[in-house]
This record gives sequence, structure tokens and C-alpha cells, in this order.
Amino acid sequence: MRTSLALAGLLATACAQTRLAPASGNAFRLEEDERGLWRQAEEAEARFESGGLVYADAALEAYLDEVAHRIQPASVFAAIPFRIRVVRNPYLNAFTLPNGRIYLHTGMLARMDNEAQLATVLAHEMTHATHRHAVREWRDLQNHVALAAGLNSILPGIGTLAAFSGVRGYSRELETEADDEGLRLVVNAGYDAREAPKLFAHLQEQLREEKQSEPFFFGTHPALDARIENYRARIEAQGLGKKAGATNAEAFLSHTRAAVYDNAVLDLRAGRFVAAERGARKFAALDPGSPRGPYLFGEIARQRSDGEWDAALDDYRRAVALDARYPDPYRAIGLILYKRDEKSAAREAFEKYLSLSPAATDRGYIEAYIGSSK
Amino acid sequence: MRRTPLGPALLCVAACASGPGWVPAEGTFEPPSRRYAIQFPRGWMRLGDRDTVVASRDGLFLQRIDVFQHETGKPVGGTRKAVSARMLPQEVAEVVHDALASSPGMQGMTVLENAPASLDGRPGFKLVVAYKDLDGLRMRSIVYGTLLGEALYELSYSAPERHYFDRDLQAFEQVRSTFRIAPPALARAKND
Repeated sequence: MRTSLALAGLLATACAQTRLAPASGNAFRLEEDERGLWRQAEEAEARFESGGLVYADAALEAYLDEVAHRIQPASVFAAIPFRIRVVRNPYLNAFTLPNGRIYLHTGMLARMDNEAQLATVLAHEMTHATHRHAVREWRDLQNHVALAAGLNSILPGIGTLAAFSGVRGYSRELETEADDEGLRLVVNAGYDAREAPKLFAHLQEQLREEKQSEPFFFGTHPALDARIENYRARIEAQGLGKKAGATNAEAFLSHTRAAVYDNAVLDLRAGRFVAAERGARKFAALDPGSPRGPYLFGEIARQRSDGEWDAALDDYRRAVALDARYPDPYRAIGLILYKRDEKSAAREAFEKYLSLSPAATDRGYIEAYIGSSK
Repeated sequence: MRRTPLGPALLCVAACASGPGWVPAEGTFEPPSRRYAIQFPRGWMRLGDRDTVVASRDGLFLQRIDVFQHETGKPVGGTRKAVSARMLPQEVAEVVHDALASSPGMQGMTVLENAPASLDGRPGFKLVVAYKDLDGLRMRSIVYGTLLGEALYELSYSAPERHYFDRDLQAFEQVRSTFRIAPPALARAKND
């Protein structure tokens, strides 16, 4: 009894409020500890901005901003100045800082089919900020620590366990809140809610192909399977399963086409050949007249450990057929022919490459190949 | 952006440099495998006594020389790609470039030079890259590499662009000129 009273007293005096009204309107004011979190967010933001990781595409950013404004009303933007930034990173991830900076990896963007899927992720991430999940989680952690300290003084050892259970990013409860509120926002904005589980299924497929465990975006979330089911159940329960909404696939794909290509290059650099091939396929379908699609297919084939040279040569020649002034396929053709000891044809390809790309950074190698092919 | 003040950083570096494992590097170093030999100048410290070692004079944050080997057929650094014995030096440089570009600690990497070069007289590559580290500090690295038998031998130098890179570049090039790779058969014979 005495222990219970002591605990109740501790809880009453030490526990900070974890229920907070969502941020909205000009009158919204940050609480003191929340201001500290925003300051940390601004520091993190500055590191991102100066680190060279942000993917610079002004048209894409303007488009993302437009979608964000479709999801949330101006009153919410008055409280939280959302800004969506794309991070040059092929891994599937998206995250939000408490001050409304949302970071989407190119890998995540490249895997989406349409604007409705983009809106699903943005609405989820925006909810973390509007519903002040960072400060709620922080307070929850502090409460656990306070409780732990109290428990330790009464029942040594037990409190530490309670404190550790809170140190795992956003709790399942907050992630589910972000999913639920996010879905509501997506539907209110007129998007097709049926796209939400499709996006997660795409991501699940990619994780399976790459034999990855769930990355950060999902690591602290309810498990991906459960999440897909949760979305489906809510769509069913709200009668959204038969209600068509906007997908805006065309606008989405035209704005993200360059990012799809650049992300496929990042995948190739990382040696993620399956993902790179998927990206190359998507880009080639979006821009069939560009030589970069077949060139990328050729690079993937050439750089695989078993080096599929014939397939690569076919791809490079398709690229040349699309644009005879695009230099890179000539260099790649030259490399394969040089290694096959077809020196004369290799020299011709190398010379063509240098004539089209006189400032090539790899000129030293190419001149050496030409010299040894004479 | 937060910057670590120079004083505490130097203290930390000094503490690290005098910590367990660091030994004066001056003179010739040959790992037990006898796969290579290299000479470090006076005043430098070395960490590691196997095939992979790192040396520094003022601390790893201010300059470092790394000696690595990567086995053919195994992923290199931040990429899942591997080097193979039939690769041209340019293709090996491409894998090393991709390994660096895919490493989280090398943000916004740009290639300043990618050219044929020799290491211990063997055909190889020289790759010079600029990037920012996780704290946003501008860094520069030079990587020399060559393939021999089942291994890619890599010798690299990294330092902050400001002041340190140029200051110790000559020392690195001097170290590079002393790098000798034992042919695999010879290394095995020495080992036996």
C-alpha cells in the first residue's frame, strides 16, 4: 500500500504531459522542451543541407510542395512550415524532423507508381509533425526514466527495464496514429486510398528481393505485413475499397523521371543489380527516346560479376542508335572489345568517345588503350 | 553546424594516438603474411600489425594513410560489387569509386582525377576524390590500387582539404614510393 501510494505520487509529480493538441493555426506555440527539439532539428537540417546529400531538382521540389499543400490546409502550414527534400540515397526510407522538414530518399520515390502513393507517405510523415510525435515520444521516454528512478528507489532493478522499453523511436501507437490520420488526409485530398497498401507491397517486394531486413522507415513501425493488413482493413471498414480517387500517375511520373534514372545509377553503384535493373526498366518506359535507358541496361550487364558482354554490347548499340552523339556507350563498347582483343574496333570506339567527350575525366585510360591498340 | 573545437579534437587525437595498439611507425613495416612492405616516416604512428594498417602523424581526423587488401570476388567497402582478376585497372577503379560513393561517411563525393598509375611499378589506378564527412568537413582522398593474383592492393591518403591535405601530400607520395608487393608465390614461400 505504501509502495502504491509512493508510485502514484511519483507519477503525478514527475510525468510530463504526453497528450498534446495537434499543431495548427497562427496561434500555435511550441512548448519549451519542444523548442529544444526544433533547435536540434534545425541543426540536423543544416548538416543535411551542407553535406551534399540533398537531391537538387527545383521542379521536383515545387511539385512535392504542391502535393503537400493538397494534403494539409494553410492553417497547418502556418503552424508547421513543411518542406519536402529529396535525399540522394537508394535505400527505402523517409523521415520527418519535428520542425516539418520531410526527407524522402530517391530510392523510395523511385519505387512509387503515382501521386496517391506519394501522398500516402507524405501524409504519414506530416502527421508525425502535426501530432507532435517527437515531443510526445521524448516526454514518454522522460516519464519512463522518472518512473525508473522512482521504481529503482523502491524496487531496485525494475525501473531500468521500464526505461529501456521506451528507447525505440516512435512507438507502435504513434506509428499507427500516423497511418490512420495519414489515410484520412489522403482520402480528404481526393486521392485513391487503394494505392496505399500497393505502395507498401512494392516496398515489401523490394526488401525481399534484396534480402534486406526492414529499414529505418519500417524498423520502428508495425511490421510491414501487419501494416498492409491494417491499411486494407481500414479501407474496407470505411468503404473506400470501391471508391476511386485520383492517382495522378502521369504528373507524378513526369516529375520523378530524372530521379528514377539517378536512383538506378545509385543502385548500380551500390551493386544492387536487381533494383538497378528495375529502375532502368522504369526509366526506359518513361523516356523511350533517351539513350540513357539502354546505356544503363548495358552498364548493369557489363558490371555484373559474370559480365554479360554480348547483352551489354546490344544495349550500348541500342543507345547509340537512339543518339549517336551520346559519348558513354562508345567508351563501354571500346572496353568490352578491348578485353576481347578486338583492338582495331576497340580503338575506333575509344576515338569516337574522346571526340564526343574531349574533357572526359578518364582520358588517361582511354589514350593508353588507343596507344596499345595501334 | 556544430564543429568540434580544434583544442579538444587535438587532445582526443593525442589520446587516441597514444592508446593501445598505436606504435611508432618509423621504418619498414612488413605484415606477418609478408604480402607487402612499406616505410613510414619519422613521427608517424601506426595502428594494426596485420595486412590492413593505418598510419597517422597528428591523428586520424587530420591525416591518415591506409593500406588495404581486398580479395577478388568479395564485396568492396560500401558496394556489393567485387573486383575480379580479369578487370582492367579502369574497371577496378570503377569498383573502388562505387565503394567510396556508396559509403555513408562520404557525402557529395566528386571525382577530381581518375587516371592510370602504377603502384610498385605495377599497372593500376589513381583516384582522387573530394567529399564531406558526416560532420560536413570537406575532405580529400587519394587512392592508388593495383591487382595482383587474388588481391586488390590499395594505398590511400585522406585529410581535410583545408591545410592538412596539401601539407602531408608529399609525405604520402614518399610512403607510396616505398610500397613493395611481394608476388603471391614469394609471400607464401617467405611465410613457410
